[in-house]
Amino acid sequence: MKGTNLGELEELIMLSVGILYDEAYGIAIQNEIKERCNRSITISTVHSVLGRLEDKGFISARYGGATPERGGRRKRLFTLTSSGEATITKMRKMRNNMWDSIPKVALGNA
Amino acid sequence: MHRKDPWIVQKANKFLERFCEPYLLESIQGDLEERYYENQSLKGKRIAKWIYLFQSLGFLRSRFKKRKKYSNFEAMFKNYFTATIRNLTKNKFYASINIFGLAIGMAAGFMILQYVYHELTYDDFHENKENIYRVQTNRYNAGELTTQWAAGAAGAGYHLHENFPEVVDFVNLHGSGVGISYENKYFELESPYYARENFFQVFSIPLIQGVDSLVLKGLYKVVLSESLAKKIFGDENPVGKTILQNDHRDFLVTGVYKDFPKRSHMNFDLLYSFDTYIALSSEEARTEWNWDGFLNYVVLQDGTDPEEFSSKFDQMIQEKVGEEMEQFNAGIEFVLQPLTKIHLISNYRAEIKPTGDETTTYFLLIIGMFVLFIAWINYINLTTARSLSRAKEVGIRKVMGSYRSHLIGQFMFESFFINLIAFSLAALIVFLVFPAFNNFVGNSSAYSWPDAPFFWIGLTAIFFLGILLSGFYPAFVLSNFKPIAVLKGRFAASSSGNILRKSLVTFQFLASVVLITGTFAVYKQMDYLQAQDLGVNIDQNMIIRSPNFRSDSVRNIKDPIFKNRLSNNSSIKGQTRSTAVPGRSADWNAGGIRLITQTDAESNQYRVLGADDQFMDFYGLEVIAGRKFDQSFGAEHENVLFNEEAVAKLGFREIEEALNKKIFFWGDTFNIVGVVKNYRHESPKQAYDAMIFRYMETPNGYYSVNINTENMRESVDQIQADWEAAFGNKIFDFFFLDDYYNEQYESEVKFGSIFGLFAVLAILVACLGLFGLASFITSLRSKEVGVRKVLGASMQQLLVLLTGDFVKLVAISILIAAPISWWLLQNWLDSFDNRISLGVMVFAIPAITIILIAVVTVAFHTFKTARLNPADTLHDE
Repeated sequence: MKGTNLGELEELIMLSVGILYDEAYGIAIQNEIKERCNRSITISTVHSVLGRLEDKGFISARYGGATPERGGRRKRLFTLTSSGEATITKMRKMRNNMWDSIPKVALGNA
Repeated sequence: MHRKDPWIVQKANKFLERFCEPYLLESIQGDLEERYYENQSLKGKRIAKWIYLFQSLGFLRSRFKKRKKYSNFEAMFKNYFTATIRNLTKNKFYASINIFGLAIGMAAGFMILQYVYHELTYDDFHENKENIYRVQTNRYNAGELTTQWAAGAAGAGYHLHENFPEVVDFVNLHGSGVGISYENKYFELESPYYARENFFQVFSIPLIQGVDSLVLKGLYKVVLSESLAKKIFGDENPVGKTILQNDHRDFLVTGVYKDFPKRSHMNFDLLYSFDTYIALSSEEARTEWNWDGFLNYVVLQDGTDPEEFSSKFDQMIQEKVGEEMEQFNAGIEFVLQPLTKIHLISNYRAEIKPTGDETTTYFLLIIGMFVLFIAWINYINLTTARSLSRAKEVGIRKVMGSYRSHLIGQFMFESFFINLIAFSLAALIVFLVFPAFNNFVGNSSAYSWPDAPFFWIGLTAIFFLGILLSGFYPAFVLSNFKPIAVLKGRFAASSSGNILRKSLVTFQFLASVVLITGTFAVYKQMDYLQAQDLGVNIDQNMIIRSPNFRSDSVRNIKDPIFKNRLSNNSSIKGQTRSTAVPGRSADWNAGGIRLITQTDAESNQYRVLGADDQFMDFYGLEVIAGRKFDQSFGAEHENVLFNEEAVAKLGFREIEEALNKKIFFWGDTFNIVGVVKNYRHESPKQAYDAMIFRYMETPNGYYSVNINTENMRESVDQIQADWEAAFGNKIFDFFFLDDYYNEQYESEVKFGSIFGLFAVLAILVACLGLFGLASFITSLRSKEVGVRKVLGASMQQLLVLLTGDFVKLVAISILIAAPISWWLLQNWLDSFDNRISLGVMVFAIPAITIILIAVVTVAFHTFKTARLNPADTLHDE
């Protein structure tokens, strides 16, 4: 495993898990990303990334309630772990720090 | 599931169930289902189900793949494999000794097995083999067994068939020495025979041309072997052509048969119809009882017990010839020999071709097994000895949770693996040396790989037996280690293991000592026989077979021409003619001979040799009483010479008593004019025969010619020219007497060399094992050696200390081996009438040799260890 670096998609999904707090599962995350980023990711990719994040210890899973639309199957609900939180927080700080360091002139009319 | 899903969805679910990791499956299927439910209302059921399918296929990645259930067996197997490979590569020295030793042992075993298999499966191609028996004849004289014939009287088969319903059919065969010619070309025949018409119906020799029941029916019919037909007729069709027998009798070729398989006790290049033989002699020849010149085969009814059946013979013999037998104080006995056993159990007069030998074959089988056992013992010894160094591995495995069965499995696997490598190596060795081995074991058995499946099944069985035998004990010992003791370092080889190892080494050397003593004794016996004073001069003699003539009158005209030309031939120092020459039994075997004053009951059987007046001088035979043949005395054909043995048989103590006595010989009276000193007419293997020499002017048999060896080629050419001048294009067939004479030892010499070869192999393998064992044990003792050196032990003392143990074992094995080999050799030597006695040297020399080999083998390592600097061996203490 490549340490604790985060890929872009991984970051987006972690953020979604955070947003969806306590309601984060496959379809919900897919919908969230579709709405917020206008990106279609296949459901299998979502699961795949979730698995990866789980391996890295950034999120943890538990089984939630079953609903009739799911044919009586339970959801696998994800929450951020503390190390996951720390990672995205660090990521955010680093980005902010870098943003702050960009001279005003460099950004033109922004 | 609370509702029925469309087919595609069902399939997709099936796929997911099969493919996905179970703990993820539920959430995945749930998500898909949720989306499907949504899509169904948005896009319709049809599209939704396709989306379901494609999305489920998206899970076809390794992340979701069901982890294979942890397979104990596979993992274990992998682990065994790695452990074995590591162990082998870490200990290349011991591994190669093990593998190489096993490979040699196996290769030797395979070759012997193959040879033995070949010998044991003679004549098994005949379809009706279970029911076919050969009638072998024993002749008795005054209650004593005098002659054992492979053949017998023609009446034997005939009368058995006539008197007993158990005999369904019979075949008789009669040898015919005469040659054939076709369009003025003469052909040498190996063994032409007259055969009864049902030959091809009884024996499974396929006819290429002709009909089984017809080819030998009627007069003047002949059937040729495929190779002889090719030799005579080339590509022409032989059937319907005529060949000439003995220059004047025409035979019609009615068929061609496939050559006899090599594994057959028969081999005929042609067969004449038996009816012809009867027509040429007399109708009585079919039923007569007194001439043992016919091979008789009977076909018994299914389920007949040959033992029980042959017990009825006596009565029949009594009825038919009882009176006659009584008159001559003689006896006759028929023995049924099973067809498939003839090759091995039979070695009597008038065999069709040289037979095998049962003792030799089983002896070889035992040697082969010995070599294999020795190789297996090596494996056991080396592995258990080295168990010390593997004890830690076992301890750790046990601590990590290995069951004993796992460890046994591991060591059995190692055994399997090593055996497999050795097996492949052995196969390679056999493949490479097979042709040479074939050559080595002799011309008669130019055989090929066995084709019968049971041979290969047997081989595989031996292979697995070897794995079990060699692997089981080490596995058992190694897996028995107590992990705590082992890991604490308080571990020593158990004394019971030591005792076993020592007894195995002793057994190995015991086998080797027996083999080497055997080889030595076999060579000594051969040497003794060949160094015998034969009493007859066989050197530089060329023997020419007399030509076949239509009648003796033709011979009487042509013979003197040849004789004269030879006397004028400057390259010739002497010549003689006789019915037989030294080197084989004089086949003329005459019974009913007695002093004219004796009764028929006192008559005896003698070997008779017809010879001219040159014979005694030519062969350097000594006449110790009376005189030799001399034509100047006139009426010489009424005179005979006896040898010492024959004189004794006649009942005289002093040889002089026999002189001028009259004997009765088949209705005629002869006068004994001299006594010939006993000489080795047959090989020195046999005791002296009682022989009578009869004077003949032109005996039919052999010309013996003593030639000038300075220019051999030229001499032979000259003799051939003389031959052609006298006999025209008759076959000029000659050989050299010393070769002919030595042929008699061929089987012993062959036996000796095979025995020796495998003895050497056995010793090699045993020493290889000893070498490995010694190197290991001395390496274990290297610290002890170091300490002793520091304390002042000399190199000599160290060598004695380290080799002592092994020498003790070898000494013990020699002590046990001596009586065993003595007993075996006594048995073997008893088959010779003329033999060495087993002196101390026969045992001492092999014993010393093997001790030397063992000491050198062990000392090699001992010396290496003893030379080590104690500083090196002790530095980690």
